[in-house]
Amino acid sequence: MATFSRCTVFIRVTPGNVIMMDAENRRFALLLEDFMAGRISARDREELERLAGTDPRRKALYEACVTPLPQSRDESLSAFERHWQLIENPIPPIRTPWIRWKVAAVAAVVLMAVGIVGYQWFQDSAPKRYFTELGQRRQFKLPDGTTVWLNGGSSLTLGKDYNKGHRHIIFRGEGLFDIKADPTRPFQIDAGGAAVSVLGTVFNLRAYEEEGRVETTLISGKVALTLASDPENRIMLDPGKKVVIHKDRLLAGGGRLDINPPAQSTLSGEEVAIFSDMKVDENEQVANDVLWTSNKLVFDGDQLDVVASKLTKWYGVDVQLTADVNPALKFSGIFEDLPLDSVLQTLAYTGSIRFKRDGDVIVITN
Amino acid sequence: MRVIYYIFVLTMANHRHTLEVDSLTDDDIASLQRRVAYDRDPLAYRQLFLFFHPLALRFCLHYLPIRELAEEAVSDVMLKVWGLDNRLANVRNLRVYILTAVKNKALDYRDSHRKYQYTEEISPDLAADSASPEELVIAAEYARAIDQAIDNLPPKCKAVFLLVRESKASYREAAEIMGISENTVSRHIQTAVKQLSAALGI
Repeated sequence: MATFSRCTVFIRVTPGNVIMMDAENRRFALLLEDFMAGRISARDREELERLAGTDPRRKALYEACVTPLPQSRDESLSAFERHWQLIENPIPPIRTPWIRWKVAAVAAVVLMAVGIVGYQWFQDSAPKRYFTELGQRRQFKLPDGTTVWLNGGSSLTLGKDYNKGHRHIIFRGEGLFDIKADPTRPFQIDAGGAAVSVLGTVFNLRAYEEEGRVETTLISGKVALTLASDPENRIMLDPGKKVVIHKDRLLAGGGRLDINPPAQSTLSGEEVAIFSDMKVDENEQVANDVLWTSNKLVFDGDQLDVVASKLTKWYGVDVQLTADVNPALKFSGIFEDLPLDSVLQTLAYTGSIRFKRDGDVIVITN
Repeated sequence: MRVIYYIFVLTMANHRHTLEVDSLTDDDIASLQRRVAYDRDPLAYRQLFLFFHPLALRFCLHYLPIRELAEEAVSDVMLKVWGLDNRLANVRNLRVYILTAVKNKALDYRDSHRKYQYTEEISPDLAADSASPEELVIAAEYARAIDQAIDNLPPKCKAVFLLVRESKASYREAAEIMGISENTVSRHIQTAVKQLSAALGI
């Protein structure tokens, strides 16, 4: 408790003054209250100030009531600087034991819920979905032991009762599948218009809906492809081979068919399948088509629309082409861990194209 | 980029001594509030902080007379204000919002720090602006006497007095912050003026 020295001020007053001052003091107190209540008129305010000015005690009280305690501005400034540090670098709150107990309780409930849901999932095999955002590449293990690498913007949904009598998935995007061998339950992929049926194998499947084609490269084992439009016609693929099925034959080869495709079979309807050998770059151990799983962005004689799509999936940006770009331009190259701008620069140097970047939107022009 | 911008703004702000925070009108506060809410403008936030910090701290010290804790409580409340983001624009009366939050925070802190021995906060000496040395001494004596008298006010009465004096809260705002009626606020102020007058021998 702070101690204050006693007030040691003496004021000499005459009896007549006392009465006058009493009246003045009462008036002063009233005016002061009005002032504090914010309902004082300008004239009363003048009177209040005059009364305060004529007596040191009234002046002291007046000042005490209307003037906040002087606060050091430096104090507030340094308080703000400390405060701003907290905003810039928040410190996690210290948990009291009670909070920890609460967290533990919540965790237990969550775990129980996860357990129940997991159990039910095993029971009814509710559809389960694995996916990657644009710019993201991840590996997943499916319940049957199959391993899948997903490239950016891909999704894989397990069919109902997956791993019971069958292994059926719906797939969009690009994935490298290492299918667990199981002759009793063939692995079937619905890749949007194309169905891939496999027993046990490693293969890469690129089936982004917006690209209008399905690419399959077989590393080992055996796969069979069927098209939704022509279920009778099975396309068998041997290891080391690649097939690209273009949904619209007119778009294959950028408005015309490849001048010299290694092999080509026209399917029913508008679709066309182009076969080729799997390409392996001399500096790489594995096929170009699976290099993305080792964080290498590969253009393999790709036309600009595919280049744009690959950049979009790889960097999570929006790559647009203007209508006047030459669709026949082809790009090849392997980029490892390069920032988007460097890749764009390289493409611009080699391919007589130009690009404009505005944040996450890139426009490629001639 | 944002961080660099903040540093820039704060550095600039530190050099702007003309920045007047003592005299923010309600409209000023509302407009700063919007700048913080929608533009996340650190300079506007700084102005609000500098305006409210002394009032909030003084009010907080009434409930929580340990400077360190009171500082922390006020900082916590201001963090909440910044954290409101866009919703800050919906706060109808920022003064009432901050001071109510300060009061609640201070009471929370007091409850959770009961083990601490309270030491009374000693108010800083007032620098009077009167002329002669005698007058200075007299004014200082009066000011001390008033300070002591304020400290001796009943707790609720003191809180209301501080709100109205320090925070320039209206009776209605003070009533809202304290959760009492405007009439009660008025009675508390009457009591305060009476007791302070008596302490000075008026």
